[in-house]
Amino acid sequence: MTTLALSVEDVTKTFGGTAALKNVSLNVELGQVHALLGHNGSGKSTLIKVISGYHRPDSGRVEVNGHEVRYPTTALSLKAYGVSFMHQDIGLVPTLSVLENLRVGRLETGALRHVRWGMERKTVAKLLSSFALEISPDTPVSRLSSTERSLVGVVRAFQDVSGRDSSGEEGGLVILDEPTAALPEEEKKRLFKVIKEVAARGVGVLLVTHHLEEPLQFADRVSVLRDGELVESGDIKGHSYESLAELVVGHSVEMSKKTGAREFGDADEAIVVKDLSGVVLNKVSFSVKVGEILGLTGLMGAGHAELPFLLYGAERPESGSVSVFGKPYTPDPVRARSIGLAFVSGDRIRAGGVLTASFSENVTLPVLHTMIGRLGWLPSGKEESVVNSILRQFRIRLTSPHLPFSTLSGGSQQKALIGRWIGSGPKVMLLQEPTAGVDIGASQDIIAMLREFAGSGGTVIFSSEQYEDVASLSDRVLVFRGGGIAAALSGAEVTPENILASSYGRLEASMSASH
Amino acid sequence: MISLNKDSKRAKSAGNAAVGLGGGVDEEFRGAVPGRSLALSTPKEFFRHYTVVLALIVTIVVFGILRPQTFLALSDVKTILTGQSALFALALTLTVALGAGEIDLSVGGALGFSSVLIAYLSAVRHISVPLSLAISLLVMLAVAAINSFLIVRIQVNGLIATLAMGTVLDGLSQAISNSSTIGNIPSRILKIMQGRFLGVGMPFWYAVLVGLIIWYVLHHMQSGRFLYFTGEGREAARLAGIRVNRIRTISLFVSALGAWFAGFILVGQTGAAQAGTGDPYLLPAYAATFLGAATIKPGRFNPVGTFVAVLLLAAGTTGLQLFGLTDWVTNVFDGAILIVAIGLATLVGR
Repeated sequence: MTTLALSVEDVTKTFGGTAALKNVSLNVELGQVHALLGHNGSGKSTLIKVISGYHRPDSGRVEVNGHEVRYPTTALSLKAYGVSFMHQDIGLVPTLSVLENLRVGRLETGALRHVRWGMERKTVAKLLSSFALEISPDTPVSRLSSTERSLVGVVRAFQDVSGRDSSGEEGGLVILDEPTAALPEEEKKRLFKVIKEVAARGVGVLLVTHHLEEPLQFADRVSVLRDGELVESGDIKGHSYESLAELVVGHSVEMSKKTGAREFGDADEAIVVKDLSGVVLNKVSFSVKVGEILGLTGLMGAGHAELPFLLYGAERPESGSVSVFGKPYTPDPVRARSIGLAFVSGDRIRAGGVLTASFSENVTLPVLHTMIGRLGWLPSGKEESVVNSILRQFRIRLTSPHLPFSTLSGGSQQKALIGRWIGSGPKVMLLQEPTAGVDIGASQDIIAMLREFAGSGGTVIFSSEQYEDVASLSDRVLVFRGGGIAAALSGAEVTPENILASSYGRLEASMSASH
Repeated sequence: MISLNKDSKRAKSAGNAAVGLGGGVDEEFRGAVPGRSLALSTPKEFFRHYTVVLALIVTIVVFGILRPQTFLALSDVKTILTGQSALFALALTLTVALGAGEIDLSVGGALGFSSVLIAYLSAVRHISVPLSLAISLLVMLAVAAINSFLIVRIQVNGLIATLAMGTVLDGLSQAISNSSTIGNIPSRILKIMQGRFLGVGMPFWYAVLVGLIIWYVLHHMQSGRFLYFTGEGREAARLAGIRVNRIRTISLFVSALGAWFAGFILVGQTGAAQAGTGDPYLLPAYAATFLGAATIKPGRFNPVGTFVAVLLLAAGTTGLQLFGLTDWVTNVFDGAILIVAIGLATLVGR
């Protein structure tokens, strides 16, 4: 009898009339690494959420290891079926040891429920060596390299499924969601070598990834989702980077044209960046003109998201130089403000608004200094009029501006955070993912806000992986890969299709020809 | 590191929600703007803002009925206010540190150290009063500098660092005072602190002045807004261009200055100093600030709330003492109030 690790049959899932998955069928066999490809919005995440029981499919069925998944399901019952996940953020506790991280919740206990540490240590040492990991079980996770952490995450995911042997069941399914997001090239190879070896012992692996070279090197089979449809599911043999890119991007790579492009031929340079390096970015150089909207994009971890951070000085650049309006500038938030740079972080919860402070306090923060009266007194009337004008101008809906910021919807929060900076009259707006996690109405409002800001002479630099928004907002787009600029699109070239194709390295040749 | 949104499915799932947004904006909006009155319009909101004030009134009424002659006697009120001056000064300045997100547990030890140091310099060493005050002030500023160096620069756990600093200061107080009471305080110091205005001791009025300045800065100046943002969302504040480290440092200096002043008040009022006298102030100061954070501006450490909370603590302990319940009552009451206060502050802050 051959049981499949995963069998998805004819699954359809719609959200408010839009089909996120259309009749998707997909099998993962035991002992194989099966890669799942697809760009943002292709339905990849929805499929994973259906398998993990988070979304109930409208029709179709999902079986793992021969057990049908019944909705609503729980993490516990999935675990009993032999399914385990490794998410991008891995979820290890840095202060605890490798042993504790691996074994918490399943520690062997003896009389009086004492933990048999000696036995545990042996078990974990054996487990680690079977994954070719040479670390002591007692090492705190905080001392591990990022690769070792990923590997410990993988070990943890695999031990859950292989530990089921005692119950007489065989096999299992491990779902790895972008396990390499933070790893350098050499280390990825090491990780995948281990994954492949362990899978070969009889576990099915579903590898969700953006990176096309990974399935080519390590997967046995590959499936590609595009706009909710499965456009390919088969053997990796016979595929090339080009054929996979074509499947993911979904059109032959001829350039499409954007209408109504703006030109900035003779405008002054607002910001010039030379050889800037950070955690991911490696010697990046480019410049932006006054009034221009520059979009930075790429696949996750390509380096684009780091740039607004570095330019604003939220993080220290490793090296390189930046000049703003012709003057050299060392990034630092306090100085940034004084020379007219404003920054809206992609991390709205931690680094955006202060959730416990009121809406009014949050939006007036950047302009408080303009309303200081005698003896430093802030007149509340002036504050109210600033709040009112921001509410009107950006069409934000709320019950009272004196309620905590946390009571607003994500879209209203984002509009308020962008609006408060625009209202403070900056020369350059730096943004990360300005339209992520907000509803479509708000994201259109945000695009309109930034357009208007640029129309009145402001410069915008933003990073985003929402390639459709990047296309509709940007005058020029830099596409990043592996910490460097892989392609530059400008004028009529700025279309969603071209951005997507360049992210996968499919337009490099034609681009360099056109420049 | 950098957090990113992994999926763009929102564009699909949220399509419906967006449709309803366009119309009706202006209508909703007009009714909403005069918001300050809205915050207090419902009984629930009123209660949320004035719990502690109501508790104070209830306490006064109850004890007033039970012990009308003694509790409500005006001279008693004046005595209570005068007697709580050091606590007022300490709790009000502590409000600043807590508002900036810093916990300073060294203020108890610092208060005691300040009083012993002033007494030692002026009474034992016979240094002139202004010089004694200046030296003790400088020493306290040095304590604040060490605290903020550890907490802000080296980024150690402030709770532990200031707890340790408080103990160090207690030990130093014992060393200086030889573990005995220092008396014979110069009359100049006594004069500063034992004068009266409207029947209430001057220290109370000094504390009120300190409170007024703090209220002005925190609630009506840009620096105050920056301080609260630093306390409530340090990273967001930093990215908005606020000098968060400077604000945190200043807030720790303010709490140390408060401890110095409270110590000064104590020497002047009692005419003596002894090691360890500051410690009994630590808990009530925290009880008052946290209780204060549950009122007036719920969810935020605020000086008016702190002031009312000190009054409540004073009324409560005095009332209980009138029933012949002595020392231990104060401890039980202060401790219980702190527990109630943090519970209340958490609940109303939501």
